[in-house]
Amino acid sequence: MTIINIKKILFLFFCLALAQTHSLFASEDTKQLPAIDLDFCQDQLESLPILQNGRVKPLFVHAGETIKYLTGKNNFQQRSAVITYCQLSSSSLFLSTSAPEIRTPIEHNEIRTLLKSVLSPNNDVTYKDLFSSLALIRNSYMAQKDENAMKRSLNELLHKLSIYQSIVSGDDWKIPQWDEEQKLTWSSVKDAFSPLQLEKNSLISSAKIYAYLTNSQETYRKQFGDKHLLELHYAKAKLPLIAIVLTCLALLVLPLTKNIWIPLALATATVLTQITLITLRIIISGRAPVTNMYETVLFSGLASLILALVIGHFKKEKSYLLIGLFYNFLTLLMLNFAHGMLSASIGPLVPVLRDNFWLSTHVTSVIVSYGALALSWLMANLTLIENRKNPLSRKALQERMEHIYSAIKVGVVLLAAGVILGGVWADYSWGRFWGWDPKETWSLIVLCVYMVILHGKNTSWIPPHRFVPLVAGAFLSVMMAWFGVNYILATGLHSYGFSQGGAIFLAGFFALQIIILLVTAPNLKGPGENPQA
Amino acid sequence: MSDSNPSEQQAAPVSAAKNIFSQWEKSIGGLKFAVIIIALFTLCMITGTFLESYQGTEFANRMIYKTWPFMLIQFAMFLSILYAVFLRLPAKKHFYGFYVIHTGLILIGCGSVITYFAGIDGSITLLPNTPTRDITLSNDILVINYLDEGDTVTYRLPNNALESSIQDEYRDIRIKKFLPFSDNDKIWGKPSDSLATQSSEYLIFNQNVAQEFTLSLHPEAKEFGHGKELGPLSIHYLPEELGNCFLHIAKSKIIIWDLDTKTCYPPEQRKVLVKSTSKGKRFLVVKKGSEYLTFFPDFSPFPLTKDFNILRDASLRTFSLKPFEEGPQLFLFGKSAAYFENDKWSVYPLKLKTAEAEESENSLELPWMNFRLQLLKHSTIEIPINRPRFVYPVQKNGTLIKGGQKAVLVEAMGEDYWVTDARPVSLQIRGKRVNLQLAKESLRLPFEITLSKFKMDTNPGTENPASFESFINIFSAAGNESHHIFMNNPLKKDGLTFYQASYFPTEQGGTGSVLSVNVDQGRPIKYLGSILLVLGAIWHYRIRQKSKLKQRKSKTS
Repeated sequence: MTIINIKKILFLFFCLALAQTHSLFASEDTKQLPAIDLDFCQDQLESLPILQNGRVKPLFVHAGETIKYLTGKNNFQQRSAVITYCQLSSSSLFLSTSAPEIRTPIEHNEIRTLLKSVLSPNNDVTYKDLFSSLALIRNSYMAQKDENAMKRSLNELLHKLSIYQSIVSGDDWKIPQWDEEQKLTWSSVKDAFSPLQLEKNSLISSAKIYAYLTNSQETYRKQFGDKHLLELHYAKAKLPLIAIVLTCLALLVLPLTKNIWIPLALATATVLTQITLITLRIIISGRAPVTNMYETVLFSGLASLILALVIGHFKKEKSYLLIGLFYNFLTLLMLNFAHGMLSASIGPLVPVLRDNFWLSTHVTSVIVSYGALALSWLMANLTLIENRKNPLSRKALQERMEHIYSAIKVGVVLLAAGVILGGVWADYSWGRFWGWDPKETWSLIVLCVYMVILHGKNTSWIPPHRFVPLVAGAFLSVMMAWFGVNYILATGLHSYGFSQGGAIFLAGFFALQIIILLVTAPNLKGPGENPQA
Repeated sequence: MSDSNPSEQQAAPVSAAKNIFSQWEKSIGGLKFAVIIIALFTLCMITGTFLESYQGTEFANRMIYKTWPFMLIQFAMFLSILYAVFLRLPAKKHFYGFYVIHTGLILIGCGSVITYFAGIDGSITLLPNTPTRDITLSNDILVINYLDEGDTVTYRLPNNALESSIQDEYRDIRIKKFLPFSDNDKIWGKPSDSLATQSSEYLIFNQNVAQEFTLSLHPEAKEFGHGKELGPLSIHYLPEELGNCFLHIAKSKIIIWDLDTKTCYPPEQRKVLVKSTSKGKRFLVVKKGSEYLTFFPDFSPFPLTKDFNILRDASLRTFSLKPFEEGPQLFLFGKSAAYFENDKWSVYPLKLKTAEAEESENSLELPWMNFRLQLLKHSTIEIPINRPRFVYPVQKNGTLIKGGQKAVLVEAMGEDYWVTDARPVSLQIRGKRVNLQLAKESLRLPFEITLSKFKMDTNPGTENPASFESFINIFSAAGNESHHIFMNNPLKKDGLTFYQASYFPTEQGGTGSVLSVNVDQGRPIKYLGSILLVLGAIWHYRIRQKSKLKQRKSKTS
């Protein structure tokens, strides 16, 4: 038996034991609950302002994110996320049988075996059953000695359960209330619909509660305006989806037509869509749109597409557009489908980041530089793959090198500026210009990697046939600085779920790039070796 | 560079020296050298970040960032940049951007050297309303305090990552070894005195977890303690003879314990009356020899004097078991254990673990979460001793889980002693008291800082911090002043800059604040260098762009 820290475990037991005594399904108090059905939970409540995770947002956004996280789906049995969430969170407050029994899919095989008594044929489990198996899950979690996939999945399951529990107990969200002096206070649904409050506000039926909620929504709008509704429109507009469709269209049209204006128009439409998306996020969050992975990925894709349009225009070169669109497509793919890794949720910032000037200069210049370096990376890979299919002439290779070089120049200048701005910011808020912190060190590593290539380019060591594969490989350092520091090196900064998805993504990326290099690089021949040189 | 015209005999060696110099200049200032040195620098940094992630910041600093080979690489980079500029002199127009970039880099290098040698980078820990004037720096020192002479000597410990042998001597103390990262090996040995006490080692386990712990009543083994908190479970370690008393607990639930005779008994047994004060506080008066001692057992095990002072040197103790009947409380008496269950106290013997016996056979079942207890070792002669051993540190979730202890081995009067950051050592050398302690180097401020208030705002409706703010008073010869320091708003005073860095809860329930303190004379030079670097890079690529366009035009024409 391995000796592990029993103190923590005992504490966990203690906490969970406490949590269990919490009236989850209110078995004993049921008799005293007011007999009100949950019909007040209607889709019209989607614009209700709620306070959650330190921010006022419409119910639609929070309910959507939460139900998606808990069930992996956007709605539940034809009921919208808003209705499902509202009914769940009110189910323990009223005597009602109509609470939805939401389910969570179980992916891990061993956990399926563990929960086989409650597992449905579709390999999912209702949260009620999951809760009754809490002791089993907990014991199994603690019996895992190593940080393996099973332990992480169990941890995620326990996390989902705790969120579910907080929803069901009516603690998860707060609704606006007005005291005697008409001052706004926020109280959890549990408190707002406690028997005492129900009696006080004479909320005796579902219709009355609905009227009460719509009324507080109106009062909130009168007092504070419609700002929180912007997020509702933002969430409903599904701009990332529109952007990826436009980018796809542009990419499809580009090789089919000789008329450059059609793909150009589509690319411009994409840029406009993404600018709208970013602007909305800026207005909603009130800060520069570069504070989490979701936003940096979004911003780098947009920046690289704009850079591609600008450089392509001046160089009169079509391949920039192709590359810019393709990179933007890749980032949009992540934004639309990699929910496990990039969370679209807008949350409050840690104190040190709360400085819009530095945030918008330092982080933005680093992210734009990553966008530019991504152009050089894709251009290099394109060259390698094209050359593998059909060897390029020396002149074509030379031209490609020039294009790659142009993108690197922009990237390197912006990165140097970004690293220095980061140093100045660190000096300004922590009192040191440089502290060998992993994030700053990796940004310097990226700069140095490109410096090696740029200096070596002028020596006999890095001729064109080595330059191209080196540039393709150098982007791995960007990925490491950008994702790797958070997903691989980070120590306790991100929850298991996040880092797990991130680490797999990064490993896959590295493997793919290395395979491309191994397959294509030997085909690029040095001077004198290339048959068409 | 033009050759001078010395006499023929001298010409040969001078030109040879010049050749060597220009060769040297060419290779150091050359692109290939730059490529090698930047690549080396990059490799070191990559290693550093992985070390930092798996083994902690301090190990990475001691292994890479703050070592001379890494500094040497940076110096080589500096030389490479410098010679690269020399090689391209006298100035040519298409190198203007290049000159600016490299001058920027040289300035950043110079600024960093100034910061390294003259700068101060430390922190100051402020307790609420407690004047403080000491800045803690990062270097480890051994403080030798000659208490009788009022003399203090500090010895600066090396900044190595691994175990280092020192062999330095000061007066009667020889400093032998420094372990920057260590864990303790527990060994059993004889104490320096022949005090008869007891020490025991136990294992507590259930189907999922297990933990060993050692408890001792000997003063030299006080770091093992005589109590332990394992989550909600409290463990109390008491002398063996008290175990018997838990067998006969009377109605009062009080035990009287005589240290002289090593006996214990309930008050009822010797007809000692337990009375109550007018406010309902229980007390008893016990006769010891000719003395009458008054106890308030629910309040303190020690007798009280008439004016309610605690009498610590009396040889009688009393204690009430009532407070220990709630929640999981386990009493251990070496070879027996007692706990309260089903409204009564029960004592159970503990058998030593034997090689043949199954784990559950010899162990005692506890009434909490299927836990069982096993006695592993018990001794009245030997005591547990912690012996530090170098280990590579391991970091998990931001904290070191292995190797987080620093230790110095010193020799005095022919005996070895380990000083660790958790445990200072007190010695008698030639009849004089000497205290040895591991600490961080510190610096005295010319003024005094007091934290008058610490404020933490949270995001609405959550416990997550939104801002940390320290309200401080500075008291100096010039007078009193108040300041407000928060994230991104430091205080500048007398060349020092104070930044809000961290906070911590105090034992009194308040909040203390940690400020980082900083003097950086290299700052303006580094900033100038940075600006030049960025502007130069833009200029450089503009020039190259233009010259390329020219080339292209001339080609096409």
